[in-house]
Formats: sequence, C-alpha cells, structure tokens
Amino acid sequence: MKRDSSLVRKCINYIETKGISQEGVYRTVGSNIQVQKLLNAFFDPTHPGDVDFHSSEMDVKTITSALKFYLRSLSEPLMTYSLHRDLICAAKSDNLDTRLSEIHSLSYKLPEKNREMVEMLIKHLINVCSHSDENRMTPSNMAVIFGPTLMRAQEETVAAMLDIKFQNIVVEILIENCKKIFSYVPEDSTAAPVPPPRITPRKRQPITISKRPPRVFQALSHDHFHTENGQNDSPIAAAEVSTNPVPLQRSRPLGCAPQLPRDPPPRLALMPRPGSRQDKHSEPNAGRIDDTIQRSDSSAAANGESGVYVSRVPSFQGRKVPPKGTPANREADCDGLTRTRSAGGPICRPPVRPPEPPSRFPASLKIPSAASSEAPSYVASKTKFFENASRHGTSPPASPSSSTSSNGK
Amino acid sequence: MPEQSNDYRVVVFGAGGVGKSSLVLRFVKGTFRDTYIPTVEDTYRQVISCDKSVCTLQITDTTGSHQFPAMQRLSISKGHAFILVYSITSKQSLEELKPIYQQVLAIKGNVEAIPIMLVGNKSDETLREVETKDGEAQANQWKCAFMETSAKTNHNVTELFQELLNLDKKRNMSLNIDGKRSGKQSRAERLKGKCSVM
Repeated sequence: MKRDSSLVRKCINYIETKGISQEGVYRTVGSNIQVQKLLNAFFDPTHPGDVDFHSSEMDVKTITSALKFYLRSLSEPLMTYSLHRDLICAAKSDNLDTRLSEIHSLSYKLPEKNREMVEMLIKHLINVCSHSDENRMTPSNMAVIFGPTLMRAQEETVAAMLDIKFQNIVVEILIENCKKIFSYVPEDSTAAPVPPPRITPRKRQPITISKRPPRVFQALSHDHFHTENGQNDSPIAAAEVSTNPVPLQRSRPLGCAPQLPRDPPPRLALMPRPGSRQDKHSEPNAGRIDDTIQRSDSSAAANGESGVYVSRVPSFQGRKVPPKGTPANREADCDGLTRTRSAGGPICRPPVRPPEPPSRFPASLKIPSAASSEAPSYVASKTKFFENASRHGTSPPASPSSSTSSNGK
Repeated sequence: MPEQSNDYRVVVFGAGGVGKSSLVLRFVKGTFRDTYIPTVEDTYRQVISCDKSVCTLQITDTTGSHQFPAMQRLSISKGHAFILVYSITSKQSLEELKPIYQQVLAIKGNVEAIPIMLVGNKSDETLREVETKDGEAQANQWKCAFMETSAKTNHNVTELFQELLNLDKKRNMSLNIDGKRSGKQSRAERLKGKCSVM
C-alpha cells in the first residue's frame, strides 16, 4: 500500500472526537471484515478517499484497527527498514539518556514525509494517552500496540521477534519525549551546548558507537587545532593548514586529544565550522552527537556508561603521557603526520587505535570490550596507524573517515 | 513430535483484552490483577505429571492486539494444545478467533487429535454479548471443547487447564503431582456441568 496521509488524518480525527476515552482504544481490535471494507473503499481507485467515517457501520475499533492495519501494510514501515537496526540498538542501551538522544537524532534521519507522519501519529497518541485514566492506554501500553505498527524488521526472523520489545521501547520513547524529539532538532544544540572541554574525550565514546563521528570531529578538531597551535609548533600546523585546512584541523586534534581538558578553547572557535562541506550534509548528525555528549555528560556518573568512560579515560591518559614525557616522541609523531599529509593524504590522524569497523551492530555492547582490548595495544595500534598512513597516504577520501574513527577513540 | 519432547506446550490465543494473560496468571500464580497491560508474549512453565512421570507444562501467552504472522505460525507449529479465548462481553472477540482457528487447522492438519479449548472468559461480567449457547455452537462447529471462565473470580480456571490436558489422549496428564495440588483438585470436581466436551 502506498502512503497516504489523508487516511491517517481521518482516522486520527475520528478517534480524537469519538473514541478517545474508550477503554483499550487501539488495543481492542475491530472486525476484520469491516476493516477490509473500509480500506478497500478508501483506496478504491474510482472514488479514492470516499468513505463516510460517520456511517453507522463505523466504530472506534474498526477505525483504530484500520489505521493499524494500514500502517502495518505499508511497503516499508514508517520508521523504515534502514533505521530499524539502529533504533533497536539505541533502545538496547543501558543509558536512558543515550537512548533518547540516539532516537532523537535517528528520527531526523527519517525521510521528511515519514517523520511528519510519525510526528502526527505520536502527537495523536499522546493525546490519547493523556486520557489514560479513562481508556487505560498509558504510553507504555500504547507502545506495545504501536511498536510493531511503526517498526518492523525487513525479515521476520526469530531474532527479529526477540527484538519486538525493543521496538516497543523505541515507540514509548517517542511518545514520552515527543516534544523534545519533534520540536527540537538535534542540530539546534550543536553550537551552544558544546560540552566542557574536559569531558570531551569521554564523550567521544558514545559518538563512535553511534557510528556517526564525522561531525564531532570537526567540532573537536577546531578546539584542538587552536589549542595546539598556541601551545605547540605552529609552523607545521600552519603549513598544513595552507595546503589542506580541513583535514589538518581534524587530524591535529587526534594526536592532541588528551590536551583538551587542560586548555579549553574559546567557544567561538567552533563557529566557523558550519561553512565546511561536511557540515552541510551532516548537520543532523552533529546535532545528535552534541546531544549525546551532553546527555552522557550529565548522566555519566550515574549510569552504566560511566563504566565505559572510566575504562576509556585511563587509556587516553596512557596514550597521552608518552608524548608529553618525551618530546622527541611527540615530534616524531607530528613529523609522521606532517609527512603523510604533505604526501597528499590527510590520513595523518594518529589513530590511537585502528578505525572502527563500520558495523552498526550492538555498538553499545561493543564499546566496553573495544576499549578494554584496545587499551593494552596502544603501541600496536600506533604502529598500525603509521602503516596505514603510509599505505593510504595518497588516498585523501579515506582520511576523513579513518581520522574520524580514530578521533572517536 | 509431541512425544519427543518432555515439554507439553499450550498456546493461548485470543483478541486483545479478552483476558488471556489474566487466565494464565490466575492459573500459574493464583492471582488476579486488575491491571491493563498488553502482552507481547510471555511463557510460563509449570511441572505436571504425565504418564506417571513429570513433565513441564509450558504455557505461552500470546499477544492479541496485533498479529505477527510468523510468530503465530511458530507458536502453532510448536504447540501441542491450544486455548482460544474470547470475552463474553464482546462478540467481536469471538469473531477474531476464526482466523486463528483456521490457521491452526492449516498448520496442524487434522485438528481432531489436537486438544483445543474454546473459552469464553469474563463470565462474571453482566454485560454479556455472547450467550453460552453461542459459544457452545461455535465449539461444536470446530469440534473442540468449550468452557466459560472468569479469571477474576477464579471460576473454571484450573478446570480449564486440567480439562485441556485430559483432551490429549496420547498422554495421561494431570496437574496434580502426588496430590500436592489437592486444593486445585477439589476445584476440579466443581467443573462438571460447566464444561462440555464436544
């Protein structure tokens, strides 16, 4: 069935005027025969949309069932197949703030029309749920009904069945946080709510997990860049800037990430960033990232994520220390970077650890293990980095992603 | 297939809000909560006696608010016995069972060897839409057993499950293990007259 918001609108209007206080509205089902009749009539090519919702045959159960049936019959669910796995992963996060921020940003990856319809539906459901003392449909109850209506995996596997409850969580979050999610675009938060520098390193973790690192880096790199310039050898940086400004900025931060906390860069430094090409298409991501950062920030100590961060922090410091203690080392690093860059490849970012695989899988689960496994092999990863750098030195396109992932680390 | 496993799997189907979960919880835990929470899918296990030994009675409480065809097919193909629940306060809920019955028929083939119980729940309610004889007629047509229950008042609940087990002629099953469940047993005696096996 193709998407047609007029049916959805009509159903919503009907429910809101006639059925909003009926017990179990949306939970109790209507007659299949009536539902099919309604839908057939509505999508009758000769008189499309010509259905009298107020005829005596129509009742609330028929309308709610028709709406649910219609949404489930769409060739692709409203929340789309492509975002399904990410949404499920987000719902599996232990950290409630992460769940929300992930889902918030993911919902802005929906096609415009889908998001509009989801927003319309969710707002309607909130309205219905606000009468839950009469209709007994609380947001969590409603989520059980609408989880499978708005989301489904492309293939009906047993694994997909096991994920059903996570679909419901996604929808429950949409209902509970509708206002924030749909009226507050994640990118809005980009500029203002940049987290305090100290926290930045930790925050990166969630970003990496979410596999949408590019934006973050830029913001961070700016900070880094400036900091670095002031503190360290500016000649190299300047030279690089002239040839390859964007990559340079990004790459810089990587190596110096540890320093951020010490030297909070002026907020303004971030502002220029919007002009760069990447910013344009990755706006939502950026917003989301920032959001994530903030969120995790506030809740870092309290919830499961703190564990992750903690493990990470030590590793960061470990990395940091060698450069500081031995300037020579540091120079070498910079040199390596510089060389690579001048060779034409922006890959220079010293990936503290090898770039993360692009898998969108249980990122949340992965992180802790990744962090712990990575920590001991800092040297190894360094080595690998340089190998990679020399290998890919000539392929600029690769650099942004690799640098990104390394930054995330 | 039934003989291969030590589990005896009962699947409870029915439209949303008819009281599937309430029935199962009343049977398994002996409690009734006036909550209103749609089920995704829950499975409960209980030890019963079977052919002079013990086995696990596994009760799968399904969702009634929507259909997951794959999930439903899986439950049916793995199930040994089925409870089809409607609410006596909703004619619609009885109608809803028809496609489910058809699906059981399609997957299991010969339904006569399969214990199926049609259950009219909420028998304590006064706003009745489905008369007892309507339920009986439907059960007659489906060649299955019929019973009216109330999870709220605990009417016929244990009897329902015992009777379902009795319907399986391939095994000799009982909810009672060495008389431990004497309380339930005494209730089972009340069952006569409330239950008609077609």
